[in-house]
Amino acid sequence: MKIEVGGVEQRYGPRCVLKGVTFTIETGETVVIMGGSGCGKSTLLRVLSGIERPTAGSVRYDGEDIARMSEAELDRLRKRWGFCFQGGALFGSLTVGQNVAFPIREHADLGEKVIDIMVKMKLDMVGLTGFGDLKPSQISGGMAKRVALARAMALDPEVLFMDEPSAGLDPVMSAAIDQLILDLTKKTKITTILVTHEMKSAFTVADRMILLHEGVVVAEGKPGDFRASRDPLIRQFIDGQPDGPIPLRRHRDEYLKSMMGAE
Amino acid sequence: MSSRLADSLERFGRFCLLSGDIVERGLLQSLRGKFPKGAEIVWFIHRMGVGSVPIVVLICGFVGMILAMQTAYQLAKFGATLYVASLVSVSVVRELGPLITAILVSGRVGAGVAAELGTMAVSEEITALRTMALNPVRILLVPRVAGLIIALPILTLIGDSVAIAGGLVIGWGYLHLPPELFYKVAVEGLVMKDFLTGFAKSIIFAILIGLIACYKGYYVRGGAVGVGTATTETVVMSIVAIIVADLLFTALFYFAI
Repeated sequence: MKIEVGGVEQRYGPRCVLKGVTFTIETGETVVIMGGSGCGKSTLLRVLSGIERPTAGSVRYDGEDIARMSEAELDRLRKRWGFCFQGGALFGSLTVGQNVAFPIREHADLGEKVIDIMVKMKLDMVGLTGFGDLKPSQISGGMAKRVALARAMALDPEVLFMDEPSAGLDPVMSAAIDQLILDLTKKTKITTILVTHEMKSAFTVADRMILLHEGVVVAEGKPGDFRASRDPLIRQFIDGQPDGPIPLRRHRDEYLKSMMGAE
Repeated sequence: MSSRLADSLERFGRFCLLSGDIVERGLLQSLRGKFPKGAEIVWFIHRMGVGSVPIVVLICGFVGMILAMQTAYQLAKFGATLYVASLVSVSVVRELGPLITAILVSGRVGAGVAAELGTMAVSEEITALRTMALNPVRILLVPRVAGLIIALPILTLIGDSVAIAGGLVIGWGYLHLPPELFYKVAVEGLVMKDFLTGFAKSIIFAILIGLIACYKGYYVRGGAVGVGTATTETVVMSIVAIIVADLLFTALFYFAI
C-alpha cells in the first residue's frame, strides 16, 4: 500500500503537536520515524494508523483519505493493517496463543484446528514455539513484544505499524527484535512504519528515515544519507550529543527567569 | 464556573453517547439478528452473579433478621408480632432486597468492571481492539452490561429469599412463631405487584450500575491514579443513581400505578 501524508496537523487545545507533516511511503518500504521524546512521532503513528483523526491535512492509502472516512470504512482498511504497541497491549485475560488467535477468530471464518495451526505458525515465526499456553504476565518484556508482533501479523497485513519495538530491552533482545523485523519485512514485503529513537535499530531496519523535531519533518532520506549528513541537528540526534540545536538544557539566565516567575 | 459546567455537560453527553452505543450494539442489533456472543455473557453471569452469592446471602440474611427484630419491637406493643412475617416479606421484596443487593453489587461488580476496563484502557488494550477493526463497545461493554442485567434480578431473588429466611429465624427463635405459620403469613402478605416492583427495580439498578461502571472504566485517563479514581467514582455514582432511581420508581408505583 502506498501512503501519502499531506500537510498533517494535530492539535490538542492550543498545543500543536504536528505542524504540516508531509511525506510519501512506497509499497513494501520500511520507513523509520525518529525523533526525541515529545517530538510527536507516536502521535504521527496514531494519526497514520487511524487511531486519531488529524486536525488538518490528509493521509491517503492507495489514494483513499482516511482522515475523511467513516469508522466502518476505516475498519475495512484496518483489517489490512497490523499494529504493534510499545507495551505490547496484549489482552491480560487471554493466553499468548489466544491473543494471537483473537483477530483471526473475529475476522476469519475458520475452524478451530486451522486457527490453531495459524497461531503455531505465527508464534514459530517470532521464535516463541511452545509458549502459547502462558499468560502475558508470565512472559518477559521482550517476549511480550514478539507476541505483539505475532498478533499484528496474524492476518498477514499489508501495512505494519510499530511503536518503539526495541525500547526498554537489553541489547541482545533488542538486536533479536531488529533482526526479526528485518526478516519479516523482507520476506513478506509489507509496508512497515516504525517509530523509534534507538539509532542502532533504526539504521538496521530502515529503507528510509524521517527525522521529526517539534512536530516538523526536518530530514528525510536513506540511512546512508543520515550517516553522511553534516546537519548539526541530525548529527546531534544520531550521535546522541547533549549539546546542539535540540534544546535539552535551558540557559542559566532563562532558568533563573523562569524560577523567578518572569517567563 | 462556566467551564466546570461545560465539562459536566460534556461528560454527561459522552455518557449518553456511550450508553446509546451499548443499547444499539446490545439490544437493537440483537433484534436485527446480530447477537452478542452468548458464551461471553454466560461467563460474565457466572463471574458477576455466582461470585456475588456469598456476600448477598450473608448481608441479606442479616438484614432480614434486623428487620424482624426492629418490627417485632413495635408490633409487640399491639400484640401483633405475627405480622412481623408479612412486614418483613413485603418490605424485603418491594424495597430492601433489590436495594441492598444492588448496593452490594455496585461495590463488588461495578468497581471490578470499572477497574478492569480502566486497566485495559491504560495498557492500550482497548486501542488495540480498534486497530484490529474490532469495536470495543461490542466486545467488552455489551457482554458485561448484559451479564449484569441477567445476574442482578437472580441475585435479588436469592437475597429476598434469604432475608425472609433470616426473619423466619428470628420469628422462630425469638418470637416463638412456628416456621410454617411465619412462612404462610409472609407469603400471604405478598401480591404479584410486589414481585413485579422488585424485579423491575433490580433490572433498572443493573442497567445503571453497568452503564456507569462501563463509562467510568472506558474513559480512564492518567494511569493507576485514573483507575483508582474511576473505581471510587463508579461506586459513589452507582449508589447515588440507585437511590435516586429507587425514589422515582417507588413514587411512580405509589402515586401512578
